Amino acid sequence: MVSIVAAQQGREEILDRLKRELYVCFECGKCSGSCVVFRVKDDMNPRLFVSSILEASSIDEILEDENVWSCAICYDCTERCDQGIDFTHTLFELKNLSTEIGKQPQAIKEELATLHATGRTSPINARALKKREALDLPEIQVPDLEAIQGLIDRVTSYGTSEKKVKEE
Amino acid sequence: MSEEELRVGVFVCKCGKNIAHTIDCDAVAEYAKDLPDVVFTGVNMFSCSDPGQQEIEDKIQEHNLNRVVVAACTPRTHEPIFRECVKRAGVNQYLFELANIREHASWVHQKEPEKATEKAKDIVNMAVSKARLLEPLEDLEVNMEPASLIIGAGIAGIRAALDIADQGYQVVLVEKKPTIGGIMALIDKTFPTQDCSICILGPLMTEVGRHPNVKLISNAVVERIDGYVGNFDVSVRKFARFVDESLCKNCGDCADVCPVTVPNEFDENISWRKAIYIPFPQAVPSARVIDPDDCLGMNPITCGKCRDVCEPKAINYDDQDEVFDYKIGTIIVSTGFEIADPLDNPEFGWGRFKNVLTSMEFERIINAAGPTDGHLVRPSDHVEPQKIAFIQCVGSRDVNNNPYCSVFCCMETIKSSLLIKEHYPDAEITVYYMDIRAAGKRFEEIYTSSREQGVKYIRSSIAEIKEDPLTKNLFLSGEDTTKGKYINNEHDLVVLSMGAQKSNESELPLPLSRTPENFYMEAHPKLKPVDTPTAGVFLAGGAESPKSIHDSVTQASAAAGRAIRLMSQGMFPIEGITVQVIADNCTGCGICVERCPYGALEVIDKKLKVTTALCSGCGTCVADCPRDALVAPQFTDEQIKSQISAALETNPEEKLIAFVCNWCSYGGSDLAGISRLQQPTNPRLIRTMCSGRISRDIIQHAYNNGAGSILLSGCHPADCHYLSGNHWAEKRVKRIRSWMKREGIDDWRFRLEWVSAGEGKRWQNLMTEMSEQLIANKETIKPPVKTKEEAS
Repeated sequence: MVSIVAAQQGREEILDRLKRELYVCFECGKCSGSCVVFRVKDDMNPRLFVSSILEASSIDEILEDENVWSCAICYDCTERCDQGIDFTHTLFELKNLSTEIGKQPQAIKEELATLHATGRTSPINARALKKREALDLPEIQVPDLEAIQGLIDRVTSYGTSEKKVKEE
Repeated sequence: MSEEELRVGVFVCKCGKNIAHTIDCDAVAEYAKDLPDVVFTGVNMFSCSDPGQQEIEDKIQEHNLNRVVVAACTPRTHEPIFRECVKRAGVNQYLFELANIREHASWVHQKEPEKATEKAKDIVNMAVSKARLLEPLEDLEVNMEPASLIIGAGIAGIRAALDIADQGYQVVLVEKKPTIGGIMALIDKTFPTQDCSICILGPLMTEVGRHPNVKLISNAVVERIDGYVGNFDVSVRKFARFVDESLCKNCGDCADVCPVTVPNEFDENISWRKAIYIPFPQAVPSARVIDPDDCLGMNPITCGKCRDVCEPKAINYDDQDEVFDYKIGTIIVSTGFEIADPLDNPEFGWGRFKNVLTSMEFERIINAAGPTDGHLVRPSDHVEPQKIAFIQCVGSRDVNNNPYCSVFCCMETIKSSLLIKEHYPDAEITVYYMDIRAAGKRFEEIYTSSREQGVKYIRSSIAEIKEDPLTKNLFLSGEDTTKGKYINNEHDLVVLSMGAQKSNESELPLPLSRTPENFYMEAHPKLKPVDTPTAGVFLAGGAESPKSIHDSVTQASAAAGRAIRLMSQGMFPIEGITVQVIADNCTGCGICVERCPYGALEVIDKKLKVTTALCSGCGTCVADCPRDALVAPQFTDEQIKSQISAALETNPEEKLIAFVCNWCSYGGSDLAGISRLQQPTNPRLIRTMCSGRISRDIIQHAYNNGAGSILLSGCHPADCHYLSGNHWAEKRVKRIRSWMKREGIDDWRFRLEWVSAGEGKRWQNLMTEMSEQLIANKETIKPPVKTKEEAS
């Protein structure tokens, strides 16, 4: 949904909107203090990330930062932000924009390719099936591959990124 | 009045060159001669100067004038001057009308002298038309009772009570709790000078308790406030105390035998008290109180121990609530604030982790009269802490709870850090802050002093606290934002520097408006900071916004001064423009009651009763009366419609009728004039006190007379001078538009815009834009149908 909206908006408009959503930040650092990734990855600092978005002159400049993809989606920053900023959501938007131009990290590209091909993010193996049986879990349902592929094609630029994967 | 022959005099002012440079004043005066009932016209150099006023007075007498129009400048500044002038000449001051040809013509059409002169003629015509319909009005005076009711006896209420009582007026001081003193009585030291709080407050508490002019009622609430300024009827309910204040010697024998122990709310629930108790040793009144919810003696078979040991026989389990009635002139609301709720920030673990305290709990622990006799110890093991952390902005500056800055907390923490350093020089103190706000006299100095003594200030908004289950020490994680590094620091005691929020007390029986944060709203944020829009009611202390002791006392003395100012007059004047009722038309439907933010209207037995002293004359009720049963003097339907008709006599399709409220939009148009912001000459402005006065009927009258387009303009949504008039104006727009649709009037011909008195530039843009649109679309405007019908 987010991506569909984004697709309808020009990239400048998106940047403007992101800035409007983030300008209230008073750089208290509660997000960084809350961020589980920041604890192990110094350069993934949500506070400074917000500030660099506010100073960016284009979306592409923001997408250069690989930390667009570093979020662990724990929502702690969003939950605790005193100014009500939903930074997790901001990063979702940036991830979608990044995907549109095929800028995702290799691992993400591969994961998406697997999802497109099989309808699953990780392949099923015999060991896993055995374990499920032992645990008396229900049979795994067959995913609606057509629907998933349709969705991926519609909301991402999978075609381009797939091509790139193949090229690489 | 209609019996009398109308004799209108028109005085056109040149204002030196301010008007005469652009407008041909002689031509305007000449034109005015032919207007109906005009018997005299003249031109003055400066109408408002002493000779100018003298000339007006002379001409009034010479020509026996009974309606006066001065064509000069804005009524916002000059109406009172000319009203006094005509009054001196023996004409009722409400039979005067000012035509603004300076701010609305000469100053804003400097390059179009001919069109400006034509517009000035229209403006004079409009003023004369209205003047012919003006009726004399009398200003009223109401009695002023020389007594104040003060609600809430914290430091603000006590200060205000003493100020007023010392001036010789009676004071009824009502406090909800069993003791007066409020929050200040519970804290240890005060910033910036580290005075002992109760040492400076205690004497004031005693003084107010003993003052011959103060009736102090504790353990009580104000149950009813009826009436109006000078004449409030007030009922105060004093809850049963079960201990006779006059007999109790405060010996404490009762508490020794009381078998019931409950948490002591006056110690932030960190100590215990008995069911019969005194909040703290210095409490006023200095008498015990029984909490009926906890006491077993409410059932005489179960317990009666305290009564058995009480020597002065002060205890009475059958004590009943009492209700007292008072006649009151002025009211001061000083109900204070509450400390924010630490449970709103669960990440800090207050309530789960024993060694996480709120600042109020810390105050009680460090207080020599508190539960630990002033020894700073950790609640978990009663050991002196070594590494103490303060976390700032808890319950403040957080859009999820309280979005505002609570003002006092930074200084409270700095004070506390100095206090700890004084008693425990080896303690390591760290303050985690977002911004230190030390804006006040001597504030920066104690901030510096705190740093000099080794208190560490780290700019970090702590994200969460975790407890070591064995040591009960606390780990504070966050980002040190100056270094951009993740921190996870160990402390053995954490103090949450709590902000303030509006107390959840039951609603006062007063129609006071509140800010979005629930604090009481002042009448004007700069010029009337302690007044409320309700005459005779004032605000002091934390009820108005979070503030320090210093600011509360300042505001309390200000509020006392404002109250004394009213009471010293003996009488309260009411302007003559208050609403009038035509009883025969009124069906008692009560729509008007809902419109009035002042409670001036009420329907009793299907009959409308107006309390004139409460009415401010906005006219919002008049506009929505379905039976024309209400009249807004000086701004009657007939008067406004006559102005419209006069404005639209020639080329109506080129005219833009702008209805502007006195306080904001008229001010904005004035500012455009003063700033010489040039505009097209199409607009004709009609002033009312409030945009809420303009009814659909008035708008229809303008279209039916061929008005090209219409602007309805008032104060911005939250800024209405009459609290909600603009809201009701906006509500009418839907019906106005649907009527327009039925009549085939294009949508663009009506606009509702909010323009403040500071938006001169915006007014210029709006006038230009609407005029250009009008000129461009003039051909599409169909002549009104109704006018033809009326004509035939």
